[in-house]
Order: sequence, then structure tokens, then C-alpha cells
Amino acid sequence: MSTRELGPLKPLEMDALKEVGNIGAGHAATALSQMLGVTVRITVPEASIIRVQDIPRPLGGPEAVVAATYFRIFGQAPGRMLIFTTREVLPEVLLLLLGKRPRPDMPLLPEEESAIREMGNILCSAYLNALADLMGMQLLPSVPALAYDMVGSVLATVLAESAESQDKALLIETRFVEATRPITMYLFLIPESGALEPMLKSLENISGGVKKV
Amino acid sequence: MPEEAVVQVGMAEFMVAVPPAKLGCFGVGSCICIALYDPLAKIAGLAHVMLPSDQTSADLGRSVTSAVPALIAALEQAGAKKERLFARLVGGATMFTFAGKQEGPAPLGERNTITARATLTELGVEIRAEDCGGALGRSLELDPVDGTLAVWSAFQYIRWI
Repeated sequence: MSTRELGPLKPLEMDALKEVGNIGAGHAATALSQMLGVTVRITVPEASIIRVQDIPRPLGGPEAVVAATYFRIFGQAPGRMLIFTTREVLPEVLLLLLGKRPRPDMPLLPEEESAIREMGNILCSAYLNALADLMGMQLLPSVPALAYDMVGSVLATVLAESAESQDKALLIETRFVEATRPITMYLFLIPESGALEPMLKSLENISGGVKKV
Repeated sequence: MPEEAVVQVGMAEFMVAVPPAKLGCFGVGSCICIALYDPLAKIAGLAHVMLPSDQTSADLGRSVTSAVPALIAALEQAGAKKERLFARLVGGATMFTFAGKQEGPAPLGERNTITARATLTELGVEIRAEDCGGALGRSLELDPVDGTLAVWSAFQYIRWI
């Protein structure tokens, strides 16, 4: 696989990667809407290249507790995906998924864990299927791994894993929001540096350049 | 926690502090935090390391094998004596475990912990306490006044090691 030093990307390439986020997350939002029975929308995806040690702080402090599912992605554009929601939002999500609220500040029950895993699975699969269709490549997720812990610990661990092969990481972030309930979910796609070239190449092939959205 | 200034040691950073400053790492996962303390000089050092060793970057703070000697050198420069230093280790968790048989290298957190132990032993620094491993995010705070090291997790505990 061709590797590429993750230097600054051209604006057009950044747009292409945001579009990847848009299409993937758009399909994931549809799947999530159906699963939860509410209307979930997505924010405009953000694509950025960061030093792996500069972990993003999407939720205020690193000690905020989140329920996170983590996937390894295999195929022609390997990488990682992390999906999480905060402890504050979790009761609303579990209410929609299971029809009952969790007890406050207790460890998750097995049925709650499996509901969160399943939701992650559906989001990840919908996202990757859309990407695979778009780019004409096969992308396969691992089974989900789950953590209910500090957001800093979760993000740092995922980025440290990617640090074994690169000192910078590409991060494509999308948020899922629900208009009438305080539900926000975060999705990070972190392609390996070697995945960038095939991704950009396949996107070029499709549109003969990049469509402006 | 009292409200004295806590200097946050971010991923791939290492720092030295004297009272009244304190050093802290918040939201540690698979990273290993190496706390060194000279009780006589009351100088503390803390490294927040991501990898056992590193081939991709010249950044000393990223890996155990480069950060530990660099931290010791920084402590000595600040007036600490290497023979008085002792170490405590925090972190090295495995936050995510995938179902099914695991192949390939051991989880990163475990490798970080093992390498930290080996590197410190090799350099002749005694490891007095550890709070490592498990599937647990941790935060810690190191106070150079008396070397107190507080460790806490999201749900389970706060303890002093």
C-alpha cells in the first residue's frame, strides 16, 4: 500500500474528505433515525490533520464520561472509527433504544451495553457501506469494542494506537443531533495514513475532480 | 482537590515541578504515566508517554525508552539526584477489548507498562508503586511538597499511591 506523509492537504482534498464524512454520516443518520424512531441530523463534517498527541476536546474536559464504541476498519482504506455519546445524553438514548431509563450513575447493565454496541454497529456499518459504494472498495468493520469511561482515556487510546505507525492523524468528525431531544452523538473516522491515497484517488475517479457541495 | 495550580502534562509531554506547583494527567488510557520524585530536594517529574518505543518521530516525549532518560536528565538539571529518585507508574490500561481470539502483539497499554518497568530497572530507579492495567481510564495528580500521588477513575475509586 502506498503511504504518504500526512502533510497539509490541498483544499480540494480536504473538501473531498469532508464529502466522504458527509455521505457516510448521512447514511448513518438515516439508519440511526430508523433505529431510534426520531429524526437525526448531521452537522457539517470537519476534517483535520492533527499530531496524534493533540487529542480533540469535544466535550469540555478529558474526564467527561462517555459511552464509546470502537471499530477497527479493514480493507483497502483501513482505519479506525470511534462513536460516542456523553453520560448526560445516554439516558435519552437508552430510553429510545430500550424503552426505559438507566439508573443514574450506575455501571451499565449487560442489556444496555449490548444496545449501545448494536447502535454503534448500525452507525458504523451504514457509514462504511456508503463509503465503500462511493469509493468502489471493500471496507469491513471489526466487531465493536465498548468502553464507558473518561473521554480523554478513550480518545487518547485510539490515537495512541495509530501513533505506532504515524505521528499525525487525519480525523473526520461528524456529530449526530436530534432536534427535539438533547441527543448528540460524536463519530470520528481516523483513516490510516496509507488509506489516504486510495481514498483520494477513488474520489477523483468518480467525479473527475471533486464536486463542490 | 484543593485549588493550587496543577500543570497538565499532556500526551507525549514530560515536566518537572517544585512546590507549590503540582503536575497532573487527566483522562489517561493506554498511555503510561511515569512519576519520579526526589523526596529530599522535593522535586517531582511526570512523563505522559504514548508508546513503548518510537520509530516515526524524534519527539522525546512520545515513547518510554526516550522519555524516561530525558525526564531524569531534566530532574537532575533542576537539582534532583538520580540515586534519590523513585518511580511510580499509572495507566497502561486496555480500554477496548475486541471479542474473539486476539492475535498480534499484546495490547499497547500492557506493552507500555512492561517497557516502563524494564527501562526504569535498567536505569537503576526503584519502582515503589503501580496502578496500571485493567480496562480503566485514570487521572492523577503529583504533589512535589511530599510526593503524594493521587489516582482516580471515573467510577471506581480515588487512591493515593
